[in-house]
Amino acid sequence: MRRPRSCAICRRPHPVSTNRPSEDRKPLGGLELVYWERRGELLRFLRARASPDTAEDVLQDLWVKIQSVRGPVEDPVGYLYRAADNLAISQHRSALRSRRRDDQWEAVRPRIDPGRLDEAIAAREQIAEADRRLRQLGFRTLQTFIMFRVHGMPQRAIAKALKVSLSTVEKDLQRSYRAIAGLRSDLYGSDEVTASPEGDNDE
Amino acid sequence: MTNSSPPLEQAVEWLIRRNSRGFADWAELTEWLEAEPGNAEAFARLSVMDAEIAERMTGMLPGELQPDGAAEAPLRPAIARWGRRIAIAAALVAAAFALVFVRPGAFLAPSYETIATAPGTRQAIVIDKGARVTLNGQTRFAMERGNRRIAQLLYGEASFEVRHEPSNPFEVGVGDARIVDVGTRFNVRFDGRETQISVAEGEVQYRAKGMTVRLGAGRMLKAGPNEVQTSPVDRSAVGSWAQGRLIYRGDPMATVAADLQRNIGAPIAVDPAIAATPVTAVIQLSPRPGEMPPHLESLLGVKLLRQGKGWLLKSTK
Repeated sequence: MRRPRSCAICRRPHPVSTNRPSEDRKPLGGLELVYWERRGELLRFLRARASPDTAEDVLQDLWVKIQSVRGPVEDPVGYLYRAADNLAISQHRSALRSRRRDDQWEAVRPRIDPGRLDEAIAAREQIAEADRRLRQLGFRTLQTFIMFRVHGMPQRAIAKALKVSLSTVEKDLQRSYRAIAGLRSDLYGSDEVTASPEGDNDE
Repeated sequence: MTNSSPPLEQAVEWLIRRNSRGFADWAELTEWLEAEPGNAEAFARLSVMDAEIAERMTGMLPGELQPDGAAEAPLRPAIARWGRRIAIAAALVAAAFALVFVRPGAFLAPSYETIATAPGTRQAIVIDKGARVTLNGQTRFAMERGNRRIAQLLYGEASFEVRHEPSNPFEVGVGDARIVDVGTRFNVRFDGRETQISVAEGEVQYRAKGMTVRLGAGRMLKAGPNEVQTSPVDRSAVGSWAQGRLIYRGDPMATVAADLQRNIGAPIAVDPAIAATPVTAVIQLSPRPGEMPPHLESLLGVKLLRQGKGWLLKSTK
């Protein structure tokens, strides 16, 4: 077993290893090695994505999380970033929820301008509204969104399945996310909006 | 993307990229998040909404039950209490209690008017001024002759729109359970074994086996022989079949096949190998009866084979 402070991949001592859990337990798996190799940039990402104050905690949660991963991971770097990103999203979500109870939001996210706090809190209530806007975009756009977001299908595969061009899929995703964000989508032309023959008859 | 556009516009671009399979530009994303103070906030906001909407679609949020004595007390606790006894009592005793306390659909007397629909057909029924029901195909539905607001779904699927009348509540029985409305629009599906109730507006109470569950708008209840669970449901999807659309979030393929059969009117079988496969899709029904919806194979990820007068859904492998 390699010495814990020397990375098997980069062959260098690790830049940060302050909270490295106790050594000598078991050999590090691939994901763990990559974690220690990329810890610095993951921390930088989380400082920006979550908050400077909670980035270390989120990173620690990520370490705990990867302990339970069984078997090899195809793309360890992508996996770690995605897992870190999901943890950041959970943190934002619970911050929004707890804010409504006891005003903890400000403590968790000090980088947010207090003047925009109300807007951030309102986002929680606006989700239903965003969902409704998304569903008004027509059948094909909703189908595209579901295939992309829920099934995780690549855009090319969606285009093939729905028998539309790749650019139509791209535009439908743009329109979906612009609707969620509450942005105007006339940027993409009204013909795209009415392209679904049935339109949408949800209320 | 241009750096001159507002943070939210850029966040849209970044979130689509981030959600694409094989996204690897994390260092670039970090730099963008750091670049302007508003970027991280816009991205946080949008990604939270995106995550919540995706979870609504997959129905991943945990459901909760409200047994008797929970914070929201049932309107008439006596019924729940009697209900528990009825569940264990002999049918005769139950019927005696029922005369006073509940009106059991389980003991359908000739005083019920029964309406049955063929697969692939629909029927709208005006119960009274404040209540309407639409029956889907392959459905049996009964109403008490003296009081049509007491009904029973014997089999199939029905969508209800009911104005609440405190003195004369609307009740529909499913199996040995009762659904009591509190002013509402809701959908009920019953295959003889499992009951599924989805509420679009208002609230209903589900009463069975001594338990009362209050089910509000945007909630769904599934009751099997031994378990009851609730989960979120997309309100616009409730009863959407009446508008010619079937919406699924992780429902098993077998459910989809049963719905297609009910709505289209042709027998639809499922290869047992894929019967439990979860389906998340929006299916637009063809306006012509008997015709399969377009793109069904790619929407469901199955192979569609002709089988007698109907169809067979098979794995593509």
